[in-house]
Amino acid sequence: MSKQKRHSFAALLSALALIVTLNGCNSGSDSGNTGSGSGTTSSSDKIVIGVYADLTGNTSTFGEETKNGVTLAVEEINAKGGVLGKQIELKIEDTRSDPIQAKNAVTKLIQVEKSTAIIGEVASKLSLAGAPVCQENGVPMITPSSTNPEVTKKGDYIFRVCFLDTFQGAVLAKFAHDNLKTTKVSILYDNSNDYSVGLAEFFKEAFTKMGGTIAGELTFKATDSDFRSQLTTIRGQNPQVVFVPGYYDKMGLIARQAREQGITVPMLGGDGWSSPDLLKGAGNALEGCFFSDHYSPDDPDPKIQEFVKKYSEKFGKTPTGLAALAYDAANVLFAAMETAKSADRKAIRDALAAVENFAGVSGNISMDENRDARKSASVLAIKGGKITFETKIEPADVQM
Amino acid sequence: MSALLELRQVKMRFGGLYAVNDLSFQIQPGELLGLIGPNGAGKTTVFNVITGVYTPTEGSVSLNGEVISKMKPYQITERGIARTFQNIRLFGALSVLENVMIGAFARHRTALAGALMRSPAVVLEDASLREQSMRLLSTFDLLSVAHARSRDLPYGLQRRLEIARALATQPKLLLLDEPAAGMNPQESEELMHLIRRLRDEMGQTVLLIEHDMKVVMGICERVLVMDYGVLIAQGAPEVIRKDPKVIEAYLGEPV
Amino acid sequence: MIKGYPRLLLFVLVTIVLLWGLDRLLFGLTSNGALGLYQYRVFILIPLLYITLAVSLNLINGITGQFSLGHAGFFAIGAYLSAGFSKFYASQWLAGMPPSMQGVMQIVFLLIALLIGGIAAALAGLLIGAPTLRLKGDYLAIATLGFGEIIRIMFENANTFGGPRGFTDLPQWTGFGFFWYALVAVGCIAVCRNLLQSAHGLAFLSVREDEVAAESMGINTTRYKVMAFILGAAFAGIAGSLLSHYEGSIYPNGFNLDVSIMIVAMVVLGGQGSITGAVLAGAGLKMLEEALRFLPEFSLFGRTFQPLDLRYLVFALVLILTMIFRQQGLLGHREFGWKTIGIGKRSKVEANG
Repeated sequence: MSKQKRHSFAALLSALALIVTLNGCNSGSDSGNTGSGSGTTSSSDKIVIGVYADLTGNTSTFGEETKNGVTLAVEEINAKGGVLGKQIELKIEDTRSDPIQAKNAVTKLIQVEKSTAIIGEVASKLSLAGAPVCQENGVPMITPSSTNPEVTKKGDYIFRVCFLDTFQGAVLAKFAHDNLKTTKVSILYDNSNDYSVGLAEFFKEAFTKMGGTIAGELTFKATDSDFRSQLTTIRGQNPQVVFVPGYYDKMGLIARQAREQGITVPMLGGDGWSSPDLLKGAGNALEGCFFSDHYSPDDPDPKIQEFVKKYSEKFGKTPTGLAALAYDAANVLFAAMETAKSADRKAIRDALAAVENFAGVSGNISMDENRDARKSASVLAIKGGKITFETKIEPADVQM
Repeated sequence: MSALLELRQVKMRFGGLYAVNDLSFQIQPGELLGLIGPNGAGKTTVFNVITGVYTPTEGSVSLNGEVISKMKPYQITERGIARTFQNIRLFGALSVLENVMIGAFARHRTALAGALMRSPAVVLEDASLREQSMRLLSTFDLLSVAHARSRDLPYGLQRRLEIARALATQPKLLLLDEPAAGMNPQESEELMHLIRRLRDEMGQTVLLIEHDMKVVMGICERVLVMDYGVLIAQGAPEVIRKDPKVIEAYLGEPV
Repeated sequence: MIKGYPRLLLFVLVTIVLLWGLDRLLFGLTSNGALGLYQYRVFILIPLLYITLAVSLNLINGITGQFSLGHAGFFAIGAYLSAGFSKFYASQWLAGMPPSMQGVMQIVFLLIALLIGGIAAALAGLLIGAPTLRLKGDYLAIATLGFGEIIRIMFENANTFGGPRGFTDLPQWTGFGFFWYALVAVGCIAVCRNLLQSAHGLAFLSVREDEVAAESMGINTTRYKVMAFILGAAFAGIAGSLLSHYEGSIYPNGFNLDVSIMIVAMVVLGGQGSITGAVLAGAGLKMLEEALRFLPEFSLFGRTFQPLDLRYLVFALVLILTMIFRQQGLLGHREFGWKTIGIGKRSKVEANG
């Protein structure tokens, strides 16, 4: 992780010295437990919001973006005087991309930090691990960006502000079929990744329903670095589009090797491509490719432009879809608190369930009966070495 | 009287080189036999062939009429041959007593499953192995260091412990590979005395490798002489000492 | 004093009663809020699981000296196969039973599931042990590492078990968890301790010390190596069954190389071959990993450092420093128990002839 490398050795040593001296910190937070499951939180002058995200694991840029998005929203609201006249205090915990640790993190956020509500995780399997803990304790949880339908099925306290993989699959299928006018697609997906497997499945379903054909399905592993044998097979299948629903970190390699193998057709991906690092190491191999995302930083909407400006000023980079969703998740939560006129968890839950047409930077958010957001998806293109806005697809446009 | 151990035309080839070539000899029960020869004569190879570390290229080794030359070392130990090593191989991190108990363990009868539950049979057997080992330690004058880590022992004691450990397996035949190596004359004499006692008092059959002929001559009633993998002479020490082939092999050294 | 099998039975009964009592006590404490569920989970429950894993790996790595990097593989096999049994079969059978019987039968099925996890992993131990134990040192480590990864990838590709999306909605029959987690940990420690106290244990140790000498002492080294793998794997498998029956969902990624390395680190840190060391390091490292969440934010040279990003750097640093200053691990080969307080069992007698 490049972030870790930046820290100097001196910082390391002092960090070590710190744990020795800061043992007391541990005991301090143990004291005065209120039992789990209590509806209201302390009536102090602060409201605690917990975030769990992968900060040290192999998808740590996801966690970083999420953390930044929420942080920005919290700073903004606190500057405006907070929620219900109280300042928002942010507590962030690391999941290291491990479901067991995700559970630890959520349990700590609820019980030790006494969070009123929880925001997280990005990866669906981690949200699935954290959601039951929130549900059992009656703590509202909003996942900003887990797209697996199962997540919100964990209970009536679990919400999401992004679209589902079923929708995303349908959007990409529609884009491939209607916008790119293609009928023959090869799929290359990461079968060690739950997200990739799911999206590939939903795409295939929607695309074949529209009358398209899947020329072939090939798999790779998150740890692979050589995709030539799969790509050679794909070239033989002669597809018009190659659908690669993977994460951004492999796309540079895959695209380069695809071009070396003589595959010139566009490649198509999902929101897993949404990262400032997507174009790193890809050269111009991803030129002319498309992916779906929750929003586009190029969208001229003034609300979006303001968010992009603030975020870039604070963190020194353009916000991705994940950052936008995290920002929205926090703001949806604050709005629900205001509507509920209370920091009571049950009241917040009810207000969240009733969210209608909330104008977020990632689109208009309305909670449906499954506590999933119904919203549009953007399709982005890679043109001239930049990620540009291509088109927007509304829920009404696709049949699922 | 039938032979305890018999080697028949044993050949051991490494690549193009015969380390042991056409070696045949017998050991009778109760014998104290010396195997000597200059450096590189193939003495240790003979030990490795007998104990199953090597499978001979040709020929056979048999113990009490049973062919053992294709068996694994532990099977040969179970059948009654124990050895020491030229470069001491103790279980360094374990205590002196534990080293000997591992030797005695070769005659255990309880199952591993019993040990996991600490069954009564295992407890009883452990006690008897321990007692047996303590007795051996006392014979070898090692009782005072029974609980010391074997790695920490002085060299001479390590050599002695290795013999005690080998004896703990209750062998019919004991093979000693240069037991006096690295010892001073006095230590070496004490050791030879001990070996003699093993034979005389316990009836232990011993085959002894020694590089230094003087040591062997004192205690063995029969000596085998090897050179370049071939047996060049065998017989009583006084006969061997005058054998021109042996003198030639040990050229220049007073025999 | 009572001896033999009655003593064993008494020990088992007393352990069960004690652990059950402790389980209810902890349950009471968490119910009235005196003990947080978070603290219970990360400072009691998870450490207990890793005690079992570290002690069982210690049997292979520490006591028998066979460097294995595949413990997560056995852990995974136990977790998946036992959960498969419970989810696909036992819970169906259970549903068809009269409600009055379900309580008892759930315990029976859990015990069977633990057994299945243990036996399946033991068979895998036999399978991996037999052919690869001809290898030594680094080569064995690489082969076992490969084995662990193969197991993980196998479950990643097994659609029956949910593939990469995880095996979810599993019956959570361990309930509050403490009793079962502690029972398995105590059982594992007891078995290893019994083994080390008997002469059979010396046979395992002799393999670690010197294989050639062990063979020449009549020890069938291959057999003991395979036995170590079978036993160690069995307990890792049972630990896996506990995990799946407590958490309710398992993921292939939860059994990756990181987990194997973590367990090896525990054995090395505890002192290879020391059961007490494995217990301390197994519990300690898992607690440390969580305790580091409490690192506060701090500023240095005008920059603010978030403790979250530094958590694993500090963790690694602790490991590195321990290995620099205590190469033999925390306890070396020693054990700590009642005897240590009184008369040392293995006193260091001055050996001067």
